[in-house]
Amino acid sequence: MPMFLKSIKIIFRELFNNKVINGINIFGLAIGIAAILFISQYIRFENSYDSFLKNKESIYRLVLNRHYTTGLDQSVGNNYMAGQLANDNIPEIESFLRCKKSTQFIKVEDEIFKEERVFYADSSFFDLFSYPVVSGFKPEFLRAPNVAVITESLARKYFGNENPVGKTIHCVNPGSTPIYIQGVVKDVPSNSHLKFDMVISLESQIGPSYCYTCNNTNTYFLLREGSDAEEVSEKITGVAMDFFESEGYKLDFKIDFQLQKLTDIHLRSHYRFEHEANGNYKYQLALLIVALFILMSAWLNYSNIFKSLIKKKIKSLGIRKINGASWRSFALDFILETLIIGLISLGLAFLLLTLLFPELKSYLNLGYSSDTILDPQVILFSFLVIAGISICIGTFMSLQFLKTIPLQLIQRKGSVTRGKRPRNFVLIVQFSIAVFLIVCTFMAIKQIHFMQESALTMNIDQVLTLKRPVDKNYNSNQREFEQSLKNIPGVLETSYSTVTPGEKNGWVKGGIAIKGSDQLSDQFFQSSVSPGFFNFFGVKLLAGRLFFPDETNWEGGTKQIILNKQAALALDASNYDELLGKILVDNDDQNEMGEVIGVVDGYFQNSLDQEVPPTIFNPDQFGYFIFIKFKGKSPVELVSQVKDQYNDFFKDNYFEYFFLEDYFNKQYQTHVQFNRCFILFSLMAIAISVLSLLGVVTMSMVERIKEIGIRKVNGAKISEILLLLNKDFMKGVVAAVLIATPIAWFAMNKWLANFAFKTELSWWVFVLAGLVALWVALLTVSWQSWQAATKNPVEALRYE
Amino acid sequence: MIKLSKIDKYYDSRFQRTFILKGINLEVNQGDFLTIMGPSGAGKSTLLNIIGLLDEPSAGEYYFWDEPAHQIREKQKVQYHRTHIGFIFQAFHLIDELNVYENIETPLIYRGVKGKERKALVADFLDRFNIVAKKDLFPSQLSGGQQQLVAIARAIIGSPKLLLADEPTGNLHSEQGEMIMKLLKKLNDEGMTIIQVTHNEKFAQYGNRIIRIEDGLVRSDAMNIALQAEV
Ligand SMILES: Nc1ncnc2c1ncn2[C@@H]1O[C@H](COP(=O)(O)OP(=O)(O)OP(=O)(O)O)[C@@H](O)[C@H]1O
Ligand SMILES: [Mg+2]
Repeated sequence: MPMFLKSIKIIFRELFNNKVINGINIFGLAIGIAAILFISQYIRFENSYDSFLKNKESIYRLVLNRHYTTGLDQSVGNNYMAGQLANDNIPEIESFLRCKKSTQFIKVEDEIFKEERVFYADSSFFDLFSYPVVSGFKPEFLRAPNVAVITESLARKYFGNENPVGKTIHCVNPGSTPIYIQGVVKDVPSNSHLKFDMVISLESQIGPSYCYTCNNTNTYFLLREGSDAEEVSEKITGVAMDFFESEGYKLDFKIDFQLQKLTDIHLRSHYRFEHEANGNYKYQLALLIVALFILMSAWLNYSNIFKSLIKKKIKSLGIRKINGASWRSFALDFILETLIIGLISLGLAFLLLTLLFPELKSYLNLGYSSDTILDPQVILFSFLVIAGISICIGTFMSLQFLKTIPLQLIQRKGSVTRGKRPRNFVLIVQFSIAVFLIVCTFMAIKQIHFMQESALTMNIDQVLTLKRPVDKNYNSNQREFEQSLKNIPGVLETSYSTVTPGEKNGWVKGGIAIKGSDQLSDQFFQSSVSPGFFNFFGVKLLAGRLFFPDETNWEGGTKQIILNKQAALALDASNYDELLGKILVDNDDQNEMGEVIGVVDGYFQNSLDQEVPPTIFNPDQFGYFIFIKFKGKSPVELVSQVKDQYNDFFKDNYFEYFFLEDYFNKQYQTHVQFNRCFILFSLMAIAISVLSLLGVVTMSMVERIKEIGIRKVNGAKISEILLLLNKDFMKGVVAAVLIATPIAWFAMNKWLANFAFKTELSWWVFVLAGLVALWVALLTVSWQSWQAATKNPVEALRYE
Repeated sequence: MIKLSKIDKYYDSRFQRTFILKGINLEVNQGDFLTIMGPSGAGKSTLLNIIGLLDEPSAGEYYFWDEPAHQIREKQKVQYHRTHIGFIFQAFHLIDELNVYENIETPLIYRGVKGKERKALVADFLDRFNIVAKKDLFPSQLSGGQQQLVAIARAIIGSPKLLLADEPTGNLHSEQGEMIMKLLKKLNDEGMTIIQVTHNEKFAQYGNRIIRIEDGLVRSDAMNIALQAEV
């Protein structure tokens, strides 16, 4: 048998002889490797956004910055003009693209589909973005009104296996426009910031408006090679300013434009008018740090066990040396041993990841498949890393042994106690990490709960929300429809508004003033609501009165408005009552917006991680979103009954509904996901800490088995021995809690600063986390020490 | 071949220097069978360790194979351990992770002996020491005497030029001890230089020269008249 085969045989025999310890070692390492693999894959995916596009380096998106005195408003919604003007006047710009995301109801033959990923775009769309074309003639794409390009899956959904090119579909709103399908492209990869199923030519939208305040179009530029984006941004601002001047527009606040790299969009952009909720590189950084912590924890466990196994082996290493073992044979043995343990752990890590991947994918809402994990490149890379580490460790260890006099190796046996300190140190570090993560998890849960329940003074549970067609002709139907809903048993109340809670409000107005004062306010949001809206959602009235049932601000209405607290404060009111009766005017056209009749507080348009913006509420007799409060009824039954009524009053329209609470809470998706990651990592950290503790306890029991035996022979009780054995470890865990608490407190304080509405950093969270750690540790230690303490003393003494 | 002159070995503790060996002069020639005797703690094992290049003297000069020991490089030491020196330790020092067979085989592997030959040699020794049945057991499963037999087999299987035997028969039944001593004598006759430590007067007589160590000094150094007379 060749030498290394023999070595391998002996290594495996040793692995089996120390099953428990090696199992702990390998399992701990596997968890650490799995954590880092998983996170690095996740980060790789998040960083790969839009990297498949050919022009990715030269595509930029236009960002509009509005500098209000209260702060900066950044939006990627721009007007129709901005792109065209820049393109016409700035030589560095090769071409530009405007597009606009929209939800459409598409009628194919007799069936209506709701499509949420429809884009209206200029014909330059497929030139800028190199999405591969499957069929159709690309140069013609989107060059005429009412033409569209769709993805393969949409083509399959609409037409099965038939060729969709040349077929006609219909946009239900407005007025059943026929759309001619020009081509098919491959499905958009999930790592794209612009995910579409259908692109319709922008020309199809009648009368693109030239008003410079209508900012709802995304604009992209393709810059010529070698252009400086910064410079181009300045030129764009300059061109826009010139245009405003020539048109005689006056601005109440400073604006400028900025170009944003395409590849920055996914991780570094959270502006208004994003196509989708983007990722957050800060969260990625946090996850990476956590994964490194876990890896460190696993590594400490490994080195701890490695050291104790080496200590046991030192004597035989010495004897080998005396028998003429060379440095090389030592190195080979060490490398093989480390490599074998590393590879088993790596294999186990991959096994764990692939087995758990489906769960992880749905739990963490991952955008990629398990292929990403099992990428041969990744496997090769991890193998090389482990081989590299093994060679380093092997070389280092054998050099150590080369230097020592063999006699010292043989005689070193006596000094067992020396190893205790570092072991406890390792435990403290590991448990600190675990406690830290547990605190983070608890705090994240607490904060999310706080935002979703405690701080949300608005009543949104048990509310079914419908979207009625936008067409004005349906206004009269709405009233009758609401009447008929009240006849459904279980329905308590209905209301409506133009924008539903949870949706981003796009109706923004700057330059508002109290009539008679020349002090202009900053940006206000506006929304139209039913007169009973505030009662419906349980919003608190601070001053004045609510709307009367027949009030409206449209079509010659009396013009009354209600402000929220933030708007009142933005108008510099020292008490709310002084605002009542005042009239607000729009500085642009000196139009009266209405008389302030009340001030309310506690309505949330959006999630509670952001500040509530100043908002003006207008009374309206109609609204696109209809809210239905119900009680004591199965939601499924309710939906089917409401749907029947809907079909009566809004014939041929798509019945679109959601439960308001779910819809509203979708805004917390990133936080929830982040929290889930933390739960996962906490569990991993706890698992490693427990494994490590188990390892340390096992090793120390083996060392102390003789002591235990002698004590028992001398009459010690089992409880006394248990106390003796548990005491040291518990001290370590308590130390860990003490170390982790201030660090976690600091980190959580920082984290909470991201939220407009924050929960308290309660002391009990820390106590609870500490108790969890202590309890887990106590259980682990007791299990092992119980076995040692109850062993027959003779057996224990014979152990040597 | 082996020459010690004014060898000191001491350990420094916090307040004082304890001498284990003090000014040892000793010469051993090729083919010698040297017996070292002396009370417990006299420094016999320490001396053997120095001779076997396992430990370094604190002072004095030591020549191994006529080469100054302090000049022997690490690589060369490994070579010497492979081919020149066999060790039987007082505390056996078997490799716990290897079974009997593998323990005996170890020096042969490092010496580069080919598989077949190795097998035959090990089988021969197992047979000769009557431990064939134990070949798959691990050291912890053996009695003290059995461990000693394995240690002896391991030390001589590679036919070293110099055998250092620290109480090779301490744990053996007298008949077995006799057998081992006869074996050593035979090896000596075949040319192996042997230095043994023993407390047993009878076994001491197998050496052709006996030295007595006490308080770190060589108290007496005599050719073994009895043996010579016998011859
Ligand atoms: N590392 C050390 N540090 C301090 N003293 C040591 C060390 N190693 C050995 N000694 C001391 O050196 C002395 C000689 O030890 P040695 O093992 O050589 O004795 P010995 O003659 O072989 O005795 P025995 O017959 O009992 O085997 C002893 O007193 C021992 O305590
Ligand atoms: Mg001795």
